[in-house]
Amino acid sequence: MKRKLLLTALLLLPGAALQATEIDEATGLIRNPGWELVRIHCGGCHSHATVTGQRADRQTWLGMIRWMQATQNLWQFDPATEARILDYLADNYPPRPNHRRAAIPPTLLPQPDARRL
Amino acid sequence: MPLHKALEDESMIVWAMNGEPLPLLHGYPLRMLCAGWPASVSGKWLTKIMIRDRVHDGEKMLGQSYRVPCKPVAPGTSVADEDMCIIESMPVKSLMTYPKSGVSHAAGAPLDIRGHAWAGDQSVAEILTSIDFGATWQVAKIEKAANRLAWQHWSASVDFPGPGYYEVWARAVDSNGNSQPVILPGWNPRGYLNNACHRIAVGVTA
Repeated sequence: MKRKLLLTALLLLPGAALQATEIDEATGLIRNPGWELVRIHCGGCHSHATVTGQRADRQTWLGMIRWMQATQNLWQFDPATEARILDYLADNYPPRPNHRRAAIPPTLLPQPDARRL
Repeated sequence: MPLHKALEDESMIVWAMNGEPLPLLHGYPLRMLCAGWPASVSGKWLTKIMIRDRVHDGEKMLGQSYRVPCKPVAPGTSVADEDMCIIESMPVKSLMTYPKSGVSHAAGAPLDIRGHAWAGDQSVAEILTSIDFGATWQVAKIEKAANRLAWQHWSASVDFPGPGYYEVWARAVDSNGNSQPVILPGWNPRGYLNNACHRIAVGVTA
């Protein structure tokens, strides 16, 4: 019984997570708390794809910010703003736990009629 | 780049492409083109060339940029800058440019596949395809490059035993015997050098 419950919970999870993730159409950023700060402070100088295409932990994101501040004319943040930006980046773009190769994504598979054999 | 690469016959300063002036997006009026190496040595909008007595220390070339760990590391490892080595010749790679993944194909006739392959400072010696997830491989037809370091065109005629879901995998082997891996090779902090074999999905219909 316990196993059945767990299985049900696992099956429900991806759908629930998908519903909660709203992507901003213009920038591609995940619309979770803090996303507008990233839009303003990062998108002024480079494409938002530079953000959404990367995965990193909080320390590594901070390292990128410090590098941009040291060499790319990124301005300084007040501590509260910096913490909110880092919270957003570390929560929404964390390192992927699985570094191995994924299956061919559904968008590149044969259409359903072709699969009904 | 090191002098030996700069002095190769194929390392060029380019001002025209296909008989036309170089388009702005490709680096008008002048660009470098040093095939087989990372694009960091094929700079666009060239204004000067410097011959120096040290490794490049310019903007965006330091730290972890265009570098991979000198020794293999486990996925997710944090690597110190001094343990990162600059990428030179790129590893062998190939693509299927026809058909696109997800294609439907009627059983009974072979499926024609075509694509390109290249191999850094080497040439592509062989290209193989598999329709059974790498269990068996069939030799495809590879053409000679038009010039050293140019892309090589390849093609294959793939037979399927009957209707079903198939993936066609293509794997090139360079002139030193190095093959493309099937899974992602050598994790590195910046995600460089992913030369895993290309895969396309094919629905074979009755």
